[in-house]
Amino acid sequence: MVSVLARKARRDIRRQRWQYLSVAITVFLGVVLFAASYDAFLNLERSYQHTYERLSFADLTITGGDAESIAADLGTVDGVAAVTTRRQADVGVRVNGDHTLLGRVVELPISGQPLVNQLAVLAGTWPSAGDGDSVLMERHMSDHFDLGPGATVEVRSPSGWRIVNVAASVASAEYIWPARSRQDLLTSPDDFGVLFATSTLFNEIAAQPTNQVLVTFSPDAASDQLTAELTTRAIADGASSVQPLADQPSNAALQEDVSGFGELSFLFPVLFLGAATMATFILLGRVVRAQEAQVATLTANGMAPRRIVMHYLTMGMTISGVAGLTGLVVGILAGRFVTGLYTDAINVPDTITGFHLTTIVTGVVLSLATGAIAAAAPAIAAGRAQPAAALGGVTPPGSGSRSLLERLVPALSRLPARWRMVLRGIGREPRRSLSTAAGVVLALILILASWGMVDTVDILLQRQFDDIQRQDAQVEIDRADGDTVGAIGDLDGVARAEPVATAGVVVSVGDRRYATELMAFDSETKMHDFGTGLPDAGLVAGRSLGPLLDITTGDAVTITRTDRPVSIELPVVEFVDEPLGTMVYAQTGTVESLTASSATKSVLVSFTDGADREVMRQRIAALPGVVAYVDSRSLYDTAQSLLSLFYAFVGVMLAFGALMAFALLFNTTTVNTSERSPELAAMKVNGASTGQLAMLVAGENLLLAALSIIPGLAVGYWVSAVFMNSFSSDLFDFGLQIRVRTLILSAAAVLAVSALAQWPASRTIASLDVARVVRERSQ
Amino acid sequence: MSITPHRRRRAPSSVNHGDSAIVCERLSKTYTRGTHDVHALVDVSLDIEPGRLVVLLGPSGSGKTTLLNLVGAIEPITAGSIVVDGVDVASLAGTELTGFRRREVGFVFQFFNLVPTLTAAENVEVIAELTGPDAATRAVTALAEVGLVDRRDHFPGQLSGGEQQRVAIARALVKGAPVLLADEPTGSLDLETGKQVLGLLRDTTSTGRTVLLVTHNSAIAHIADRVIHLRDGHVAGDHRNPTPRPVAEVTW
Repeated sequence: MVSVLARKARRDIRRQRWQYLSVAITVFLGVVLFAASYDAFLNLERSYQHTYERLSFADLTITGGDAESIAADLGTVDGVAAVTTRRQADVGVRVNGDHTLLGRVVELPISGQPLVNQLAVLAGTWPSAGDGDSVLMERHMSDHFDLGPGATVEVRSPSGWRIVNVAASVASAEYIWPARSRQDLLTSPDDFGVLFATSTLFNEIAAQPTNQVLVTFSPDAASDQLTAELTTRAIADGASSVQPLADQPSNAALQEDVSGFGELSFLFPVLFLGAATMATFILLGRVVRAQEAQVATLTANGMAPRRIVMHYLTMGMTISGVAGLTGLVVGILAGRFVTGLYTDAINVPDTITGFHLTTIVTGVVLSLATGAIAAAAPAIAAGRAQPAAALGGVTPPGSGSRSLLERLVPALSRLPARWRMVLRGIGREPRRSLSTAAGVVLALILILASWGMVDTVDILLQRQFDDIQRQDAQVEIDRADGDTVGAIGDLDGVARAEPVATAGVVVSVGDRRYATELMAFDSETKMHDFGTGLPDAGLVAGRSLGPLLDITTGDAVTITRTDRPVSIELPVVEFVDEPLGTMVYAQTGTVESLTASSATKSVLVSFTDGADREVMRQRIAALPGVVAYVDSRSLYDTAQSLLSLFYAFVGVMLAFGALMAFALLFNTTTVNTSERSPELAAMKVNGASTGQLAMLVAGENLLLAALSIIPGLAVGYWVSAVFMNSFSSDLFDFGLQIRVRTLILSAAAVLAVSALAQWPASRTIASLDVARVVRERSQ
Repeated sequence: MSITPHRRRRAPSSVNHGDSAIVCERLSKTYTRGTHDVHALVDVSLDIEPGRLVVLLGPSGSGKTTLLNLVGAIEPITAGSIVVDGVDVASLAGTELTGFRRREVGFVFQFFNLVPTLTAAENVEVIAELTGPDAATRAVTALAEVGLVDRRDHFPGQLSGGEQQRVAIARALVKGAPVLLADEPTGSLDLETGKQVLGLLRDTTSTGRTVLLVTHNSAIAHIADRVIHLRDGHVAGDHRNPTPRPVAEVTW
């Protein structure tokens, strides 16, 4: 008996192969998305972990204070594997004689390779301990400017520009993502590069270095507790900031991406598998209803209901299982491919891929569970079929009533009868109508979550670089050279030049601390939009600082330089919403005591319309007091170029979403047509044309799709907002921003797919075996 | 959507149709099932006058429903010809076929096949809309003919089986087609309800309409003007009934 039922199942599936195929495709896509993104997430985590372990990446970076005494103290704590000290400084760098950028020089120990934060030599050789003329160049800078071993660059020392040799190109775990700071995550290699110098050279070129202590933990150390203990000790020992690995700029940026993969491995598969579950439920529900008399006959002849239940349950799980397992294999392969693409694009030193049991087990469970959940209700209903159902007789027609729309708009009752049929068809089979609506909603969630990401990033970038930050360039000048600001302002092509003071600071309240950057502007600044302007006294702070330090407007905070023990106390007057970073701002005079000791100061420059940016860079950089030059617009261009990856991702998601919506709507439409084939056939034999009948069925489905658009957009918007907010932090404010045209185009796309999904139903009506169908009982 | 009015293709002049409503000449229908053929109808020739209630009687598989389907142009013929109301059915295709179904024949089925989300009047109206203006008024008139005008706003789920079948008959009548085809119209009904339906079908012939009724129930044959027996696809008997019994006297 079992083998006969299996044959029945095979033939049932073959008879409705297109419907089952559409379900299978949806399950396949869902599992592919899960496996690819989850495996990529695990692979990337392992890749980063491998690099960090190989290069002894610091678990804790302590800045400020007496580095030697702090290191000596922390080295005595249980759980600390290694402690080392170093210094670093930001200096001007000049490449090819005319391209000036901001450089960071990191001191190397006399022994060569540091104990913590080691470097991987990619090309060239390590300079000798006493070599005072050579540097190691971080790979992003060497790749961007094509500067390999043997090349030379200039660095700005207190005594002027000095030529140094590039001994090797290296990779550093600290700069996999080459961010200057947490507040400056989007850094163009045109404007920022990292060099590593021996102590001999470092002492010569770094005027105001920052002391740092780097700590690694033992593998079995309790990381959170050890971090807390070491932080307390370091602060007590005079350190200004303590940064755990999670907050390290490069790691933080990479983890945002990795967590993105993690989020994707949940959200999008849920959409697809949810759609597949609904489609399978509707399809099997229809099959069970159509086969009720046959099933009842089997029951009447002694077949156990449990076997009936298992028969339909197995059908559902077989479809989803086969599709899901295929998707699992493809997804795992895709995950490896995506991992390799990503690590190549980001220049991650190590690419680790492998088989992950969790991915495989979860993929299998998801595949089988989709079919089981979908088939459960129809299977149980089939198992409950009473033998009396085999006796036949007329199936009573379902209850009819006027539609909600007709009751809300009485004038609709005067429509021709065929259009009233369309209106009432929506409520005829609530489960099927809900599935159609759900297909529209799921498709819109998918589209808005992916397209919304692009819109949000695009709009926020425009806001940051067009509305908030108004400079075209930020120039570091030698503080001692007092005429440089005027000289910059006098250049052709410069519309405005404003001095601004910057400093790395820690903002603290009690034992709560946050490391950020302070920018001090003129009271009448035109270079930064503060809304109502900078207050005469007090601070303006990024919105995230409030919850981070548990403060509100009016609360006083202590601001301390990270590289020297200088601090002041100021009230926070206002919070501002800025997409990138969480910085603090004040008028120049308010924070003079903090910024006066810097060796350099900055000038924000805006150009006249039509000025050539590269020409302006060269003109400004050629001025005597200019130490470094950062093109603000190139940051925007860098960010925009990253968006191109997003567009590719959105394109793939839109295609998948269209496929998912088509599969679900195709299924509900064909089930719709099958359920009412006797009445459609009766209308056909009484003179309705195929085109008229097809239009009525399509009209009902398209009306339902149209009615689902508004709730779909609302749910899609909400899900997208939750999804985007999950990426928000003090680094990025990813409040969802969706353009109106995105909403309109999304709705239009879903309606277009819905219309396309009606085409198979039209063919079904055209090929209706009227003679056979009119003898069937109405369903 | 407009439907091309079917051209009244004149039957070949070699056949004298006179006042015949339906003329079948050497009609055959063969179904191919896998590797073997099923001859559902073989060489059937009939000439049915208008205004008659004609019963097609025979056991299951005799070909009576097939004949009905061919007359109603639901299925294509294999050989021979059918002329309905002067129209050569075999020559019709596409929109002409739709037009023929719209104007020349009405169909009533065993299982009613009403649209459950439309009221009784609307079920009739949706067909009336296909054949001219004032569909709503014509639908109510048709329902009055079958005695259901007071149930016009009820949905099929609120109607008994007999009432649903009467709605189906009204739907078939509203087009004003000269030929009504009924396939086991009482098959799902009890005796009294079935007699009501038969009475309606009987009454429609008084307007000159021809009713072709398929049944396996020999008792029904007594009310007919003519009974054609079918067996194994052939006409096994054909007799006219000069004094059909009143429907009320029939029982089964």
